[in-house]
Amino acid sequence: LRIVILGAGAGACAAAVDLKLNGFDVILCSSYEPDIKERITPIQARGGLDYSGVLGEGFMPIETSTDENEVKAADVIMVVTLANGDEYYASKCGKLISEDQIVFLNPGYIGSSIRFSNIVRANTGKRIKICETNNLPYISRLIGPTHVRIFKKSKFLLFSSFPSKDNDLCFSKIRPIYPFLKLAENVLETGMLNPNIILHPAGMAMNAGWIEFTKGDFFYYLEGHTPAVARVIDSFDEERLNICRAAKVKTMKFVDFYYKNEYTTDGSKGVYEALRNSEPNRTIKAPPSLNHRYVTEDVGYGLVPMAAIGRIARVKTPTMDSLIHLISTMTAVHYETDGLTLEKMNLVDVDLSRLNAILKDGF
Amino acid sequence: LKITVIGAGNGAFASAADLADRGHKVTMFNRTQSKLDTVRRSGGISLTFNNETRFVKPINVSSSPKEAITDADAIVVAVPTTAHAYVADRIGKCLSDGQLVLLNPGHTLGGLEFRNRLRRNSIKKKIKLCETMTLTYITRLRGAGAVQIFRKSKNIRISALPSVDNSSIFDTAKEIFPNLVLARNVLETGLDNINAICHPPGTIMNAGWIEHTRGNFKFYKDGITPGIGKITEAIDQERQAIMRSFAIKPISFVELFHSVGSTTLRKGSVYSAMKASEANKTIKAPASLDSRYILEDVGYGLVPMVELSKIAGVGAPTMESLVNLSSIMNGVNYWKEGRTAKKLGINGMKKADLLKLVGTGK
Repeated sequence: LRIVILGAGAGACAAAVDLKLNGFDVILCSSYEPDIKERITPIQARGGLDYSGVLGEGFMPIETSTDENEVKAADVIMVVTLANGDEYYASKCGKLISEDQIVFLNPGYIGSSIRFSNIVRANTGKRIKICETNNLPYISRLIGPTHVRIFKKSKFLLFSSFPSKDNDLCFSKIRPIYPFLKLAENVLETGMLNPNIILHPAGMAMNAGWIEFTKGDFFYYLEGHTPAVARVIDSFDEERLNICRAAKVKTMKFVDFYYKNEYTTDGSKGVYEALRNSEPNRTIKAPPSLNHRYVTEDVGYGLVPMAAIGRIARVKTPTMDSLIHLISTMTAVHYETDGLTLEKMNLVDVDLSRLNAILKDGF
Repeated sequence: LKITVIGAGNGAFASAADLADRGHKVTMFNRTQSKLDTVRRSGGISLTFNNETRFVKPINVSSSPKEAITDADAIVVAVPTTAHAYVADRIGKCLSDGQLVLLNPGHTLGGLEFRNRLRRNSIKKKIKLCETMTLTYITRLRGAGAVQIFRKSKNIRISALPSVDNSSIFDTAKEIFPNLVLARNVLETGLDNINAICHPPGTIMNAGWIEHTRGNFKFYKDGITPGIGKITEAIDQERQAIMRSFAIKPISFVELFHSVGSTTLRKGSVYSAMKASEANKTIKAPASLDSRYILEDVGYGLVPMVELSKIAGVGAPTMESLVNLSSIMNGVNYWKEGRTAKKLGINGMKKADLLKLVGTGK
């Protein structure tokens, strides 16, 4: 199985090391200028990646490339980028991908596969096979230009393809890579359980001054997620559960997901207790500014489409809406319109039954 | 004048001491009488102002509303705005025709709530009711029976309810607080409520910092960052749109902040105006989220402002978002617990009705 990993951030590097440790044929590829300069070039020079953390310590030789044409030779094209990177590679690689290959967004956000698939279809007319997880399987950070530290590897993640009629085919190809994946009904079930979307925006909004004044010099979860902040996340999660109930999407409470993944030793109470008892998150610092993926990605590509699904399901989402509005205001970015809107997913004026039909059979 | 000051907090002590110091005959009254024990025993208040401390006397303390109110020329209500309804209930029966009742401050529409309580209690006395937009002093209590006035704010707007009474109250009101200027009506004073504009964003968007450190940072100087300043500016835009809809010419928050003497900047961003605030630079954040910065400034500031926005027919999404988040984070539904249109007696009113009410009282 030849796997091309598109992307070169901490997640992509963690995936490259992990998959190679498990004997897969992997190449790390990015054609994105900043990635090439800051990541691919040093990794190329070193001939691979140093790694440490839960997968052990060592050096792993990694093949690298800056040429998207690499995707032609791959069985699986694994996209491990920020959510806005999906659009970049969908535009760049669409013409190179065949309908026999599998595009694997690791992770997807809400509607990421739909958007990727739409872009490729609009540009090339091809109906590709595409699938996604609900979260990156690693908590990892680059602690040097060629050194990735992996704090945690997931125990339980959801997986689905778009459209879901391809589920069995895609699952049979991807499951050997990540045996802990559980097949979901469709990409709405995976997207609605993306933990970053649930967890990150409230902490950013309600610690905005602290982040800006100290440039993020405090422990984001351990110190920044006080009972009041956690109550907002609990309320957010309640709204998400209401959307899933109304849209008949199977899901679970955020704290249950967290516990199942062993991110916390206490999933029996609310978000506050779950984060208090989260060993992998204990030492994670707050972002250095408000212009960070916790906002750009988790609001723009997560919260905005999640609230939009809420409107399709006719569920009230005051907590989500308030966070979108306040975060847009404080960062002077109009996420309501600049984020992943229903329009960008081709889902304008779609009702629940039409949405479910699209999720199953595609456009 | 014979003036009764109601309350026993920063504002009441500052008012009582300053008024007595300027020769008025002052009586104090408070719900919790023990808070006035020191004044009752010593017969006065230790006042620090302009780097000088002296003992101001005589100041009376009364334990009966009847005795406190009956012969007063004016009643200064200097209580947290959450207590306006209580004060109206408690002193309503004792009021008499022609008495001036001055809410210092009214916060946002304290006068309307006060009036509505009197009506509900069938009190028909023709009092002169008026309210200021914010407290006339920057002040803090300094131990038992002592108060420090950092600054007497300038250009504090006041209006009578109804505003036809403006000309008849203004001379007396200025005798009590010389730093007053007349507003068009109580909608203007209520929407110029400075605290409601700047406290909620700084508190809610610093919720984690406040809870984790128990407020151990400089609220204005460090806590109002560029991002939070933008939220304050958005509230300010919404507030100005409401005012324009009610035919009131608004001035921006920064101008307002400058006009009361809180910053040296007359225009520019909220962030830069806060940085340039000498008066506020040492003020710490509240020690918890269960603070008047939320209870008063969201519940009795942003909530009535949103009610006004609905009557005005303009959107207030930033104010609404802040009320939503503060309700969730504190586990209190301020949409219900706060100063609602119903409590103000303006439920379901059209814009013209409300303008008539604040203008003529009818």
